[in-house]
Amino acid sequence: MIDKLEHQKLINEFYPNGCILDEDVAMPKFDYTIKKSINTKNKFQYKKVFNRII
Amino acid sequence: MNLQYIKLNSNIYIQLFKAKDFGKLTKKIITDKNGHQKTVYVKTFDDLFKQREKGIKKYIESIRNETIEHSICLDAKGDILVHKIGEKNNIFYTQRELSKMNGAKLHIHNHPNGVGFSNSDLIFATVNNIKEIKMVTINIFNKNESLDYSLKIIHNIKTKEEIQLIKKEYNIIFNEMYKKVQNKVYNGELGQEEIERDFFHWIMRKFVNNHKGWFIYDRQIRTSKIN
Repeated sequence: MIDKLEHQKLINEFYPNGCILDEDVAMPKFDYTIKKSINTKNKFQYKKVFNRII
Repeated sequence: MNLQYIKLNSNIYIQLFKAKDFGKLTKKIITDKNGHQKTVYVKTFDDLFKQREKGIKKYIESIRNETIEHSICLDAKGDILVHKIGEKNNIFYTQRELSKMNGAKLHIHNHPNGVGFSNSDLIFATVNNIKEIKMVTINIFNKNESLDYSLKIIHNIKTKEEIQLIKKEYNIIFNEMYKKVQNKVYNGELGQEEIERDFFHWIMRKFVNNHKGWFIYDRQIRTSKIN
């Protein structure tokens, strides 16, 4: 436990109007729509197999 | 004997304590300012707190699935210092309530949105010098998965400069992690479910790793069987 006065100073510094716990708890937004279309290596392999079938 | 009850939303009352105040005396050898060793007896309340753990566990399970935030703050004996019910994603404490929490042993609350500790939780615990802050939640994508988070403060953080530094460093890690995760989303290595559950956990794990000897951080995941 820290000294009462010291604690009050910290409260005044960080929470002058009271404390809203979890005010920043919302998930940040990620853009799930932007993705690499096809891995280039897989694309190459797919082409190879396709050619063989033909 | 002073029994304490907590009223939940649905008119359910939980009797949190049923213990007697038997503080235990523990022998300790201390060195005074003149360098002389002295034997002193210190009153500890560990046994008393243990007697109340059953009630605390019951409280934890009762708030885990709640749609709004609930919290209690306990002292070394397990007595309630502050009990507060908040809103969907936050709890408001007045300055008076904050001053009651100085040096508390345990603070428990829930996160209805299923995410881990944020910067706000970290600063709240350090400003009020709370020994351990626990947070419970469920995975919103898989409701059979329960998550228990715990952050213990083992370093005596006293000055506002130290706390400001903690806040700043957390934000730096947050921004780095955001870029890293967005990059992994782009590469198809991470999906939304994993990110929503673990994003704040990754930040806190990295932050605590950079501050060894200051904090102890832990997360437990339990999966209940599907009926």
